[in-house]
Amino acid sequence: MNQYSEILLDHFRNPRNVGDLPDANGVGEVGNEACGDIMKLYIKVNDEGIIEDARFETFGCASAIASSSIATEMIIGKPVEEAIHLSNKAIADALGGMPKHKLHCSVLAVDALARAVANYRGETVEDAPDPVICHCMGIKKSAILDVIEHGIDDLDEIAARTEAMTGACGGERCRPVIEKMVKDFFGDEK
Amino acid sequence: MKRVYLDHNATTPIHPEVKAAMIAAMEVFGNASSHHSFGREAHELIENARKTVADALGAQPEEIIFTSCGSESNNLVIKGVTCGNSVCKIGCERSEVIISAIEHPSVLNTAKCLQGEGKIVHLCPVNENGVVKLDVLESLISDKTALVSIMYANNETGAIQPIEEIANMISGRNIIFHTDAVQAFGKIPINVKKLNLDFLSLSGHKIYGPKGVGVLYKKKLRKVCPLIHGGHHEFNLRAGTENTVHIAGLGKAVELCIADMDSEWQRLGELRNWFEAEVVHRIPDSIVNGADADRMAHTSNISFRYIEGESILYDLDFDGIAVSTGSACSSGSLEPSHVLLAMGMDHGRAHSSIRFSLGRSTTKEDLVCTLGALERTVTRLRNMSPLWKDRIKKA
Ligand SMILES: Cc1ncc(COP(=O)(O)O)c(C=O)c1O
Ligand code: FES
Repeated sequence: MNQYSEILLDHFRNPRNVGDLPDANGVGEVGNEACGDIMKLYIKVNDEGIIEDARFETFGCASAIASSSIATEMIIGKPVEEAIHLSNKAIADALGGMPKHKLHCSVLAVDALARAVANYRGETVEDAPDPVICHCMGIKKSAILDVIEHGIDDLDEIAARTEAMTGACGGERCRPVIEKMVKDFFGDEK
Repeated sequence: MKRVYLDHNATTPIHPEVKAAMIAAMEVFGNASSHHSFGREAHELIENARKTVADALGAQPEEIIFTSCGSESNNLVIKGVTCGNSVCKIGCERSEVIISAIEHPSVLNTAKCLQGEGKIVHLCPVNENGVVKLDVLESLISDKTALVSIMYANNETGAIQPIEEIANMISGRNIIFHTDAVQAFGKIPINVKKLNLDFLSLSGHKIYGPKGVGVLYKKKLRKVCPLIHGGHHEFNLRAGTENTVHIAGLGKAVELCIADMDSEWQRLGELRNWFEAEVVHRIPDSIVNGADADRMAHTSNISFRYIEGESILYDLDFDGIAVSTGSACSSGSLEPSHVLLAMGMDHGRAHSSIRFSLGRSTTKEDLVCTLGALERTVTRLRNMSPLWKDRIKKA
């Protein structure tokens, strides 16, 4: 059973851009030890708004390390405005696909990038326009709201349509948040 | 590349003599229930294996039920004594089941399933070395207790459970006592009569036998309702034409492991202890989990702080070294090993754990090779870890 692609294993075994970046002007860190992964991403943005260099430090499984590695490759040389749109799906695809229960590693990389960019801009992530709600599957708030706004209040139906709550944690982490979103939208009578 | 297999608790390679016995058994195609000579030949193979297993356990042949695996044996006893229309009076009348918090999923999830049927399941906690807390167990036992099921030795840490003490505690209270001995059988002497056990599970593939065959020992007067109803096979307790080839293989495997049990225990214990001492000496912030428990001689569970177990597993795999991990990331769940958490370990340490399980083919050279690879792996991964960097800064 090799759940990982050759590309992913290569990025794990020969990670690119490891370490810190002393002259970074944006740093983002996500995750915690208890959950089994921490990702720290450093970016150096030049005066033209181009990401000149990026580095990472990661505590986590093979796919977390590979996701960080490829994310640095995918953003170096890109304008911040473009890099910020990097999706977790693009990371997973670039790695030659990832098993479903590992998708949260690609989400972690996107989160770390969002934080690094926010830090560079002098913002905090709470201002991030469209936060990830389901971290296992990388489902953003807008995707879930879209379904809710179509009148769907049934959590199983939301899961079926968005894939939120269907990840490795079985919805343990995101279900309460989505429940609250449903409540906020429909009010208490539902 | 030379490969090193240190995952014997997951499964073991088939012993060449077991293989030979199985190949020979393939020639014997008769149905053991048939009365002609073809049937008798198959019957004889099965009964010889039954006798070998019975002798190894100090049991009678009619107390040995062949099943399809260790998991089935565990299911058979747990469901079979508690099921609603159970032939087992105790299991029927009493409402509570006690298992330990560190059981294999085939016990844990089977017991959970009983909860849906109205039974109350108590999880007995373990101490920091992964050994069942006897005082708590004592307090959980009451006249409502139908079944106590505690594993003989844990698959992740190797911690041997105080089965004799538990048997004594239960004795005379008319409670059914089962032990999952899948990891212990064939490695340490077990006598079901001396221990006064009602049920015991074992599995072929952990003792250099084939996968897909197991045994449930059932004490003579104990009753159990079958999982698979049908013909009269296995004393009416497990229907289905017997798997002659696998049963013959299991018999051979049992014979072989009993023969050199003591010397293997000695040899593997020395190797394991040497290995652990080297690891702790050469790799900073490595901690042996459950080190102070009475442990199976071939099992070692070590946490390498500040890095994650699955990444260690994959990195060692590149060097041809096969180990396993209790980290959550290998299984896809959020929580790391329930066994390590039950020992009160913090999540970080549990996430960073690796299990090395030695076996018949393990040599000192294998372990020397593993140590070298391990040092490289741990250094490489720690150099990427923000936690390790913080640790170095603090030091
Ligand atoms: C303690 C324990 N019980 C039961 C089993 C299940 O045995 P089997 O694989 O034969 O179903 C295992 C094997 O993983 C085990 O380690
Ligand atoms: S966070 Fe949504 S399934 Fe885990």
